[in-house]
Amino acid sequence: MAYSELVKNFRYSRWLMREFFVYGFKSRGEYALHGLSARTYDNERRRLENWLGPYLEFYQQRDGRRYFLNVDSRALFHNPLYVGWKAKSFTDLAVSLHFFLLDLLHAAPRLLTLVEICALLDNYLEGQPASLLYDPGTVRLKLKEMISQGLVALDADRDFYLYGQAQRLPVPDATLLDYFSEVAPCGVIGSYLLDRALPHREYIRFKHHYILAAMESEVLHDLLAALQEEREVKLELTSFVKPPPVNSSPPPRDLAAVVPLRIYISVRTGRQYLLAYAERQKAIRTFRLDKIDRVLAGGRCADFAALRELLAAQEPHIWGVNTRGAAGDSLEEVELTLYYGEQEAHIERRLERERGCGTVERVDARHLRFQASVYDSSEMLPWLRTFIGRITELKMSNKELERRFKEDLAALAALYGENGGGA
Amino acid sequence: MLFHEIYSVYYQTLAKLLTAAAKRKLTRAEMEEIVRREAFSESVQAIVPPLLERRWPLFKENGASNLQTLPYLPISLLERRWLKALALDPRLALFGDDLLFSDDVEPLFKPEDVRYFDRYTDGDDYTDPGYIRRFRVILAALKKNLPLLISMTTPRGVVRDLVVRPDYLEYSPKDDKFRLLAQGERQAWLINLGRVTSCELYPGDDFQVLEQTVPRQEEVELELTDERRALERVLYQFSDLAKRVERLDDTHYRLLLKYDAADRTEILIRVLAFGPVLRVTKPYAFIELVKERLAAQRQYEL
Repeated sequence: MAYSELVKNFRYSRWLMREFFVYGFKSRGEYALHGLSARTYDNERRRLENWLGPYLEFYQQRDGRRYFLNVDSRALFHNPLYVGWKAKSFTDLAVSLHFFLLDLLHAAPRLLTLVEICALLDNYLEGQPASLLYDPGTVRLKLKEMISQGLVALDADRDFYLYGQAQRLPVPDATLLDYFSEVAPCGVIGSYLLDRALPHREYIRFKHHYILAAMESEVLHDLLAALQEEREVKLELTSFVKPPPVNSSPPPRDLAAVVPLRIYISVRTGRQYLLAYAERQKAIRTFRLDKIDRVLAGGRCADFAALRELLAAQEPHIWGVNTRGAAGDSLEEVELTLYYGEQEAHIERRLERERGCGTVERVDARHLRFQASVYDSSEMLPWLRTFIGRITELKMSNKELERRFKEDLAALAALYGENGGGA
Repeated sequence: MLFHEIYSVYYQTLAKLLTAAAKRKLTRAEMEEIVRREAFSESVQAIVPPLLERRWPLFKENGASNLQTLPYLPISLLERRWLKALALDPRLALFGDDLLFSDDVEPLFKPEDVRYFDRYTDGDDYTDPGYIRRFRVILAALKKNLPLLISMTTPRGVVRDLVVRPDYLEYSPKDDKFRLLAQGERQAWLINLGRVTSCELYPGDDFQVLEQTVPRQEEVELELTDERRALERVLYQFSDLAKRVERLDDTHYRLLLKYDAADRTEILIRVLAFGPVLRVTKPYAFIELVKERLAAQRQYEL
């Protein structure tokens, strides 16, 4: 297929965008091993160069270039990765009808029938061959689509349908959109609105800003919509180690029937998760959004409220996102004791704000104790390591994890030539 | 549907072309200039020929718009539902009152549908009327490029008064706090809005930035051993920073991270969180920071 800046299906571009952004050390040949043909790779890379301009860099190695997306998200006012969502392809008919229908409905002094609309459309094509005139069936379908999008109003209360322009609403304050398009869920929608705002100066930047989550916007939107309607869904899961299949409508590979209950977002990694009731396991399970290819909506779930209550009852013992650990559904205990100096009051503040579902108490003037009962204490290991240097005691009911923590500490000390390491 | 052509760069560009053509007929060169400014780098070849050949009969042959009215891209139902969800966010009040139009659509999400599970719990209080007022004063000063008189309490309890020219606000989803980057006479300030006790436009006309300073950047080089899916975990965790990754062999990678010097301690603990799969190789000063922590830990028998 000839190259185009626009895409019918965002999957390949999104996959390569993620590869370049997170990894950025693979060669063209390596992508071929993943099943991505050289031609497809070249087209997708060219597309990303068009979309992302100076953010796409490369360095040269013996066996070729290594492309990567170099983005310092702290220096940005807007997420550059939103651009991919604004590159959908369209037909000649679709674009013409879109602008003509909005125009004639706005210019008309009253609501119009389909017949009247088709007659008015012919005026836009004056001088064009008759073969290009729009047939009523096509126009009706286009109007139906625009009604579902909220772009056209329909009065269906009579013997025949009457169409009119949708209420004209103002684009909200641009600074408000600048902010929420970067921090609210499905922020790309805010970016769509910003495209219609007047040019303006920006005043807000972001730290700890994980922009890759933009790639999951459609999955997130579909899950949130299912949540609002209390619907069951089927999740089409993907490994994303390999590129998506060539066929844009592949047969379902792995479908999980679930009831979405809550979205969990990590502000320290940018990862997004779905906590849902899984039909097969008859329990609440966790799914990464970047491993969900598609969400297929199902019927309403009569037990939604009860399932939400079930999750709420478990949440006081969820440290991260997992609802089960090595011990299955049993709880694991963690107790951490820290030393802090006279000038280190900030350690107590830090422990308080980061304790999550745990508790903090002062043991004495120089020691603090953190305790937690959680389903999966392995999720805590990275956070526990951030206190290296002041850990006076660590007890975990999962003795395998406790042993691993202490061995890692010894290994870390050995890496830097420090003997002992407290093991 | 989120991925749809009505939100595309091409549709936005066509609307801008048609708006320009409503005032005067556009030449080919003028069309190309607008497309180059508004769309992608190769869009001229994709947009201008279909318009001139009238495959997209949006223009008349003489370059005038074929529309009767100015083009208007309505706010869609998807966008209205997203805005309705914002109406439930307490941070909306920071930007003003009655900023969103009244709408009877269902919100796309409610606060209870999303949980930021590892966010710090001492974030700014967005319901505090004093905080809201100070935020709005700062925003107004930013928009008018005016200096501010700020009174704040430092972490050690010291009260400071500053006169600064605000540069920009910065929000951290992790901390759930706003900070203001501002220029004093001779130094830059990163002011935590939660510590500001009063804030007014500076009434004098004698303030001047004598020395503009910018945050100093540092780099740290690390060697990553890909055990326990470390490669994916590390690269995701540090994807908020400018970075470069090189493969050394099948299981080892070199990672170069750039960060603001003021964040050195934060980067240190983020590196430590990965344990022995991540080793600092440069600079020497950063390696010494790690060694200090390990030496301090050695005194405790775990």
